[in-house]
Amino acid sequence: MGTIADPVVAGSDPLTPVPHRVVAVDVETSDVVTLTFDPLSEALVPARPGQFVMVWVFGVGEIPVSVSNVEDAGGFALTVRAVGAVSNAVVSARPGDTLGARGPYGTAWPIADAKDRDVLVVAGGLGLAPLRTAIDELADGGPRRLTLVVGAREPDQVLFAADLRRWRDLGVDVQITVDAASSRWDGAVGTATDVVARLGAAHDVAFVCGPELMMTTASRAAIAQGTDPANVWVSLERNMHCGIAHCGRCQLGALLLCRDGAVVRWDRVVELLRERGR
Amino acid sequence: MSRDRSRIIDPQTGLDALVRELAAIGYRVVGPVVSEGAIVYDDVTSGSELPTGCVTDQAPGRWRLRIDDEPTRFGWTPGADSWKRFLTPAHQEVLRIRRHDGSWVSETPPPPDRPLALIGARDCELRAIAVLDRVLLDADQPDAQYAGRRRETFVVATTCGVPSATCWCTSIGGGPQPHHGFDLRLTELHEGGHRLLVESGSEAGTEFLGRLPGRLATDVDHVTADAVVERAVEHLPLRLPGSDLPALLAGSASHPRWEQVAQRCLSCGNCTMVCPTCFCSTFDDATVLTDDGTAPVETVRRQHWASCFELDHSNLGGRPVRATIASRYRQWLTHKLETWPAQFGVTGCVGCGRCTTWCPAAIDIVHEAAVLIGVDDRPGAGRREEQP
Amino acid sequence: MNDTRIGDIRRALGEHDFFAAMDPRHLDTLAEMSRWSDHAASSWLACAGDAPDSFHAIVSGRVGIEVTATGRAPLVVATVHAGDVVGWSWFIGRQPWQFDVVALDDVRSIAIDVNALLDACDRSDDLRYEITTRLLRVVADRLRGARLQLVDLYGHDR
Repeated sequence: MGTIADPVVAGSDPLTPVPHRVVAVDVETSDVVTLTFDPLSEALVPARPGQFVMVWVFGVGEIPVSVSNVEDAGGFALTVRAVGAVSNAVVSARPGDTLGARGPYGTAWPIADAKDRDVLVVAGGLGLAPLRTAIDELADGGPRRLTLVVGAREPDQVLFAADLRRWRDLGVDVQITVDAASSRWDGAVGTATDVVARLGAAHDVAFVCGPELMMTTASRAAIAQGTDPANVWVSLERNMHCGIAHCGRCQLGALLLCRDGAVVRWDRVVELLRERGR
Repeated sequence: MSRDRSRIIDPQTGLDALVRELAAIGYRVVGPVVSEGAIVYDDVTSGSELPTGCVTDQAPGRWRLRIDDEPTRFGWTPGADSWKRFLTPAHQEVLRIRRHDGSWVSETPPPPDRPLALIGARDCELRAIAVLDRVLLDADQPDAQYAGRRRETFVVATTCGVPSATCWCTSIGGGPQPHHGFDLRLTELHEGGHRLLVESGSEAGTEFLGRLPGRLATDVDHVTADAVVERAVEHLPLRLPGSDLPALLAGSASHPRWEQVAQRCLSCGNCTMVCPTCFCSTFDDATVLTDDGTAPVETVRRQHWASCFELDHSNLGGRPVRATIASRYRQWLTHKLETWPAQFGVTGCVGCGRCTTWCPAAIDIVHEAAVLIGVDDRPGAGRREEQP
Repeated sequence: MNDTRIGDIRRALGEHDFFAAMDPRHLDTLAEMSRWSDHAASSWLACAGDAPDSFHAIVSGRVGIEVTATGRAPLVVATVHAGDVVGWSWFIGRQPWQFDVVALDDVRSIAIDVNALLDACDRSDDLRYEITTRLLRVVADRLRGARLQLVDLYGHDR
């Protein structure tokens, strides 16, 4: 059969977590925390908006988390919700702790498509985290018009309040809606999809991220208003287990989401999402 | 095959020499052996350990071995084992990470000290290895463990003289005689005397041929070998339009057949374990604590075979996405026959029939696919083009 | 009401999304039974149990549909914005208001007398049809939103 050229050099195994130090912990909500990391020595390639890393806690395990901020010199932030053993361990990290990270993996929001166009961004719940760096780039110039619809369960579950204010100041039309609130809430109460339906204008490009059902209804609403389905992008995940397309567990139809996603074009997945248990 | 690259060897002494010489030049020789009523792949140190007189009988949900008087060496078809057990072991350590100085150091296991030599690989198995090469070596991040085991593999293939009832390789790009992916190819001949035709398929194979006792092959030998292949092909009628399957299965997601087969499928995952191309896996970290049990000092990351039939194979937010047997069976079949080519550019199924043989419910993937695409898969039923 | 006020209302009805594409003659009829209605922030347009006298087409400001259960703080379960209407229980067997309707901002609405409207519907099948289909759309939107809110998507998201 002959020689297989270039066996992988010892020590550079793609599964090796690269040590990173926690430099800041920001509590976003009762169960969501943003951790900022600096590399100990070796830095990862800076993540593009929408990409994720596999974050590792020594002795506990690894989970995929979208990068919610990118800093200079290899620093980055992850916004994590505590739902299981590993994420609880991540969320409990303190400044000075060392965690592992490898990546970044996956596809990115197509920011270049947004230049000089009317852009709609819809974020539901924790879905605002994978969109944050995209919105930062978009708010900085590029689109002709940028509308951001943010949905959350309750007012105190809305993430990144300071960023939302900053984006508003930069001219982004920020509309926030929750499932229920007291009458003191000055945003809307209702679904993000309702807000999209009420916008009453077709957008050229839409980026949508959140629970799958929300992404489906919001994408349909954007398309009903005139957005071309080929210009609607969603972020899908399944069980991102290895992140490097070896374990086969993140499949959705023909897509290996760690490689062909998480950011995918809506018209490529709309039929898959309609099939139950796919 | 040119005559300079083919020889005739004795079915007993020739195989003895083959195994001996491979071991002598430093290979770990692995081949079929009879063990507890089955044929499995294992380390072999002598040609006499390879099967003699074995005949197998396969059907959906059935595999039987019997020993015949005739001293055939390859008159059987493979069992549940496949070469993937040596290239991607069911359990392997991939990383060892040790606490050090506020951070950690990590080690990967060294590659095996001896490359593998595989004896008796079938065409379906060679195509399966090529599929694993595509998935694990051509990935953006190649699988280091697989690469280490795959280096310099020496492949002694064999022609299938007696296909089994569950073989269907000819429908999906294969056949009883391997054409690619081997260093040497054996064809067992009976007519005109029991002998093995050995043909080279690579430079390494040609070089190795010189170490084997025997004579040059003649035109008669080659003609006899061609007849063996022709007879074998007769046992391999086309049952499905293999290359069209992705397109034909594309609209099948809500076909009622999925619920029907789910009534029989146990979701046991046997099919994924015996399938030579299934590569799904799970990683876990096992932690060693300090002597006083207070802190972790070392983590060993292991990789294990996993199956899409496991309930937690796919999950979203901690809950399974494919919660029903119907959805998991659909994932298995559509991945193998429909979506795999889009993912990797090669077919996922090599038509070996193992999944059908080893299914305790005797579910036949060929028949299920035929129902889903609306063709008759019985031998002699005709090609899809002939269907209305 | 003097002619100028009716003229204002008639124009406002014509510009309101709920009445979009309605036959102008129906709008003339509706203008006769409508009046401007202003509500300061935190005041109520209606309370649960109130007799159904009018329904409101919101022209400016936001209105919240509020649910109060004993022992629990009132919760806004839906915001109704300018261009939308609030109140449809009157149409189904003249039922009283089902929920509290609170002005979240200073609100200006067009209050339409439901008894007069129902009489006008008795006289005109076409008007009845127009009102029915529009209200049905409102109810469908509210139901769709309520169902999605019910499954608590963000409670179990990524």
